[in-house]
Amino acid sequence: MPLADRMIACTVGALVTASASADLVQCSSASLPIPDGSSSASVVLTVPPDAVGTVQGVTVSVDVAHEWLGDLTISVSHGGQSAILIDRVGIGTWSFGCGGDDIDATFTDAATASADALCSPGGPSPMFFGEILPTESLGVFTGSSVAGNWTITVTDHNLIDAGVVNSVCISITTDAVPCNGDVTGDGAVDLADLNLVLASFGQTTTQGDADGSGEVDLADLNLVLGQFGADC
Amino acid sequence: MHRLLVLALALMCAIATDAAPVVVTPKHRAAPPEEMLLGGPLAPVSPADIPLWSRGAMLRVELDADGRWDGVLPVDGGGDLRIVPVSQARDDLVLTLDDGSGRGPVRLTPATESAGAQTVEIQAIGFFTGYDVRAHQPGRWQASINAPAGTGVAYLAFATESPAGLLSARVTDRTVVGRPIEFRASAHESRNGPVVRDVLLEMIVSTPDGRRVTIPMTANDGGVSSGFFTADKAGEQSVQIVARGRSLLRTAQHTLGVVAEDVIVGGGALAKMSGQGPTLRIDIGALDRGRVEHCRVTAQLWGTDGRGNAVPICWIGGMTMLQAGADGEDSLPLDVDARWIGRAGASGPFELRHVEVRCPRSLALLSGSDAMPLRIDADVAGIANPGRILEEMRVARRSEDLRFVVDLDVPGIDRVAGGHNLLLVHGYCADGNPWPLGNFFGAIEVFSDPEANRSHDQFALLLNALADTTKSSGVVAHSQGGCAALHLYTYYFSAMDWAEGPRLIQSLGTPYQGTPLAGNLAALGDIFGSGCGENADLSVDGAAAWLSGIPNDARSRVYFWTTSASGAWCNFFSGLFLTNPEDGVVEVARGQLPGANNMGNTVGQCHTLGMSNPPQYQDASRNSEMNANAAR
Repeated sequence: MPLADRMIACTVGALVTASASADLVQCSSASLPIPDGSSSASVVLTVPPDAVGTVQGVTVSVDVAHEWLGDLTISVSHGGQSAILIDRVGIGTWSFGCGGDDIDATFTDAATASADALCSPGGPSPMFFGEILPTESLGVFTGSSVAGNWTITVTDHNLIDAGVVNSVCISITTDAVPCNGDVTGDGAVDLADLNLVLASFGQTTTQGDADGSGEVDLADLNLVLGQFGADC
Repeated sequence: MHRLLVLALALMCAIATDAAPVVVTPKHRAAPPEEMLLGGPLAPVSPADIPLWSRGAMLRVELDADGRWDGVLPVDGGGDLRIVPVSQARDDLVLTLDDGSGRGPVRLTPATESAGAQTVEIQAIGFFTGYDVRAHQPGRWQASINAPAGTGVAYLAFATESPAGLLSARVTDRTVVGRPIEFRASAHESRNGPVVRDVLLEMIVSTPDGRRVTIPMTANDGGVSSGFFTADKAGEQSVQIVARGRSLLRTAQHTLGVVAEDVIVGGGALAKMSGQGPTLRIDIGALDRGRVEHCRVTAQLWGTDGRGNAVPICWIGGMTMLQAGADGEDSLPLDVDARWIGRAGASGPFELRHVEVRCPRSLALLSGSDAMPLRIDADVAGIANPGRILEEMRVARRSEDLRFVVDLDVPGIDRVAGGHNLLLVHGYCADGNPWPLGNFFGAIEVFSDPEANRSHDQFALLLNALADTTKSSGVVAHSQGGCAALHLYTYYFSAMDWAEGPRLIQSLGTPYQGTPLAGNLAALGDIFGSGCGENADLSVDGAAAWLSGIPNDARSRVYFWTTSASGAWCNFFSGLFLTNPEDGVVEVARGQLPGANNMGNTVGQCHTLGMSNPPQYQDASRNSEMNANAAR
């Protein structure tokens, strides 16, 4: 990695539960200058090693301020795999590619619009916005372990125009079973959790309140019974 | 988009001699119906509607082996006779004129101060001596020339103060090999005055291989004469219309491109959604007869309203290449944003009207169709009316499959790449860059293609080769350079698309509507060679054909200035053929670009060096203003 390259490592994250699968969202909002001319800025988002499950889907949200988007290649890598989100958009039509400003977009395989299609002289700023189809499919990460470093690399291939990474977020859908039934926090939904719910049943308390409603009721009991036996 | 400025660059570029393949991406444009209908800037034009009016004459005379010519010069009117003998002998020539008044012959040499002998520079040809013969007697003058043996051919260019003139026009739209090309002409007592009857008209056709053919024109009852010729070879052709009366001689010089009929549109057109957003790909049926170059294709798109009436949807146009279809049918593809159909509230049946295919090298009309059916294989009924014309509707989304390769003598390039620059551009057949570099600062580049005669398309593609070494470029252009910059911005994706700043194209002394001088200068090519010869794009009718494909949206990016002489003329020679006010090359009236930003006319400046007033491009105040407001 060139000396001029910049890197931010980030291990903070949030675990959000869902009914059938889990979405792990990791973000960095630290401002990171992008070195001008064939150099890179990388943001490393670290998913803790105790996170369980394998990747079912990935989306990457990028907020970049840059005066000449055709200068940029942005990629995401993890576990020996990588995918290019954009790669010098507009090269071929214009010698130096798309001259638009700024990105505030989410790259997802579910999108229909390509960055190339959004590039238009006189277009809006940010020129790349909304949901955008990545140059390479993010499906390359499907099946890999969710834990570890997710690196978003922004490379500026040309001199003259500069920019900064404002924020990046990676949202990972995993196959991990949701574990809000583990009200004891011991890593398993078992008899101890069932006992705690029954002990607190009908009370206004956080003890045994599996769904976070503030009350321990039939909904909490159903959650524990539904996940009974799961390792979290 | 760019807040950083690079170091100032002022680099002269030399033209390499080898042609190189360059990939270009054409822009396909659309414009609202009001621009394409009668009176609009994109309405179809006919050369018959754009006649030349000439009050001067260029009489070609062939000297004998000893360098002698004797003949008759029909001279009308009174006042001054301005005359310039032009030959390889230059100043080593004696012209003797006798008006028959009894004063005896007047012997004109560079030393004849009584006849206002003065040095005259003819652009790209050289210096000669012009004479101003005062208080002359109209009639049939005896004239003779004595020049060194072997001089060969001379032209006597002259004009009087008489208001009589020659009105002439090409009336055939299509100038293709093997088909008759007709001209009409009439002599008039004044610009809008009655026809002069006792005049014989003829046309002298100069072919690309150097032959000269004289064709008598036939007069009708109204005093209008017509004649035609059939070109047997493609290339730029020069046609001189000559009106001879007992004491009147007028000539008008027409330049036109003749092309091989190597593509014919017909049958119909088929459109499908291209898969890129709301873009509709219209394939215009065409018969390939060997076309290898790109064409400019324009058409009007019409549909049908709820009551079954034809409704105009939009104008479409751009450069395109003939494409071979999978079913063996050839086509000329044009892309257009389908939301124009929603805006017009139109449904089928659809039709293309006024389809024109023009050769971009001379804008000669290769093929055309007044109307052809358009079948749209897409559900366009559900396209909503966007309510207004969105900017992205004016330029179709670029399609990589429409890119094509052109062979260019690409300017040698040696600079820091990737900046945001102001491009300084010269004009037709210039020595090189005319702009004083001291008047411009910041990131600048200099285009230099000296002594060259380029069509607007060739010029634009060369400009593109230079501009595309930078991320973005604005343009300050002199003379034809303004047309080239507008042509590039209109028809091709380029670094100009990304320039930011108040004024994208700033031009000075640009003949947007052509110049009558183009043909006269071209005629001198049979003496001095064709280095800066015929250029149909600079002719008056050629310019009209070019402009009929430039939408207002593109024109609005141009800021243009004109200048004119403080006296009667800027150049003694060109003043014989131009109508005041003029700058020695460009008439102010024909330097206008409707739809653009007219920055005004400055009196007391001429087109270039060696004229009666300082050259227009040396105005430091204007140059500084252009520099400060230039997009880069």
